[in-house]
Amino acid sequence: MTTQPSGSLRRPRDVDVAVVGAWEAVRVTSADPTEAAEVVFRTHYAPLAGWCRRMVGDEEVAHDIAAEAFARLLGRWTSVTDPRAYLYTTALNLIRDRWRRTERERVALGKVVTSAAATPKQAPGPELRMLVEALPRRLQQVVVLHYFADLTVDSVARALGVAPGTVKRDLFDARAKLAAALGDG
Amino acid sequence: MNERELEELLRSRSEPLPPPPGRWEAVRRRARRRRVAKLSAAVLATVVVAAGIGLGPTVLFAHHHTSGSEQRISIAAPPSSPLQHAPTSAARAPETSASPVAGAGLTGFAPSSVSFVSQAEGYLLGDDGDGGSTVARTSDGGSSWSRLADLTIPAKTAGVRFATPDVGYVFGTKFFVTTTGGRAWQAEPRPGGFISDLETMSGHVYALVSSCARCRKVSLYGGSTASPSLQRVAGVPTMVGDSVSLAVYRDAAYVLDTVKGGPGQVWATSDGSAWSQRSSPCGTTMGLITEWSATGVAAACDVHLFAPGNESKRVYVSTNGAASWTALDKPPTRFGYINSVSASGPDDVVVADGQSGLDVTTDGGRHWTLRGPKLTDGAGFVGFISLSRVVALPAHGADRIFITSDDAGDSWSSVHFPR
Repeated sequence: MTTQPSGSLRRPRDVDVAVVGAWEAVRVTSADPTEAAEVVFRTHYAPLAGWCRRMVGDEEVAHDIAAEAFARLLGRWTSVTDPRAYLYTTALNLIRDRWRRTERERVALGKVVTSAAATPKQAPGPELRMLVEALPRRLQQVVVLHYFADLTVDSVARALGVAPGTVKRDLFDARAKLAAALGDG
Repeated sequence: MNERELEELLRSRSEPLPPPPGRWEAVRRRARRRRVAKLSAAVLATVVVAAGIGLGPTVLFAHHHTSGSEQRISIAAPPSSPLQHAPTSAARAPETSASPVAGAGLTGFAPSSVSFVSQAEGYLLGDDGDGGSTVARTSDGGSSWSRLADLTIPAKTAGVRFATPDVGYVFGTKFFVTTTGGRAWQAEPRPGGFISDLETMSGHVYALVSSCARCRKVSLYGGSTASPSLQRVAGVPTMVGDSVSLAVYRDAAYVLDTVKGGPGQVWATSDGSAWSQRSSPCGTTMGLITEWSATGVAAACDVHLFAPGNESKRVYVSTNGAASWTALDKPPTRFGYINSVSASGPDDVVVADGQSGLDVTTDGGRHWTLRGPKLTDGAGFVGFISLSRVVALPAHGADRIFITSDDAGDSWSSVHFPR
């Protein structure tokens, strides 16, 4: 018998952490914004950081990007309607910056060092990350939000302010480009 | 590559990358710094504009030509500065229906059980100094408490749990239920002679029931918050344990049944209906179980071993719903029986021991540090109510205090009840 009632205290009962992406559930039922933000952090940080790591290939950079995305989310806490879409869109922008910077570094290095030695380490073959990186910005967004962030077509449409049909068409175009690129590989 | 293969490739999951310790706090600090910087810039801009309109070129001249101009402008910020209206990160107005003063009407109150329904709203049950129990309520996270009700149940063996701000339970040798936020309590028939623990979440209620306070045969009862009646949970046999503990998170629930010298057992459900046996980390030692998510569980084993350093007096964590367990790097380092354990993740664990107090690790047990106020009989209870907020109680009511931490146990503050 335990010496007194044990087990931990309950976390906020009305915050449904399992309904991933159901921002409304978190928002409506939690009166305390800190609680809701913490629940979103607990639910989404690890998947987001893991995805960032997959996209940039560096654990430390992935943590930096994920933390920055969350800091920006907190800064816009009252105006963001879908935190997951916001997090992944923000992270994608940061990842793009990173890609651009890496590319610039690659070019700069290429000017002073022979290319083989200077090229940053990359995964061989048509790795998905590089193919997504090569997609046009619009197609990149829908691929990231739909496939990586697991948002439904309707959620992606809401996040981007476009019609669901547009998202479907962009997904179709993106798949076609990726399939062609992978076929070439 | 065909369409299906591409879909599979696109939908392949990335391995999650858990946050390093302290990442949430770091993110909050970063966001707060930016908010302050943004507001300061707004104030500065407002004042510059106001100065331009009201004071004319003299101040503008000063702004351009004196090194102390920024300080001067800040002091001149108008009363309606946005800074005064800046929302705090935890802005929640306290309820206006109650005006609790710290410990009002709670002279002699010695808290022994606690339950929170949000970070702000919580309940204490404690000895009223006259053989009965008092239930107290806070709406400001525990800074101040007001008396809610007096109940004829000995506090020493009683506990309090609230499922919602309306529905709550006081249990032990009697069973009281409120559906009015604690203003009125109804004595309900209890399923057995004694309820040693009760946990509730997401509409589920589970209770550990035995014939008497010292009886070793324990049964699990369950029900919903919609009804006060509890029924025997099918699929979980009667347990014969020296220590049986219960943890509930949403639809998931865990029972750890441990017997000194015998095999420990864990029974669990992930959907609130089908129960199955899982692995027990405690082997032949007595343990306590707690949870931080539906599949994140921690257990302290050999809790009745007074001395530290024994390999069996250890905290284990599971991230797969008690299918397997991993021992934290090192065992808690203090003397004392472990009365309670709580975790907000595999790295952040606080142990309440009956000698030293609150033993805290934030790095998966690599380091344990004694934190919190000095307690006469050590700590009796600890529980995370969010990733970083923890509440704790002293053991045996010797110290009439309620203890909280906002940084996962790194620093603590106390509210003292009058003697």
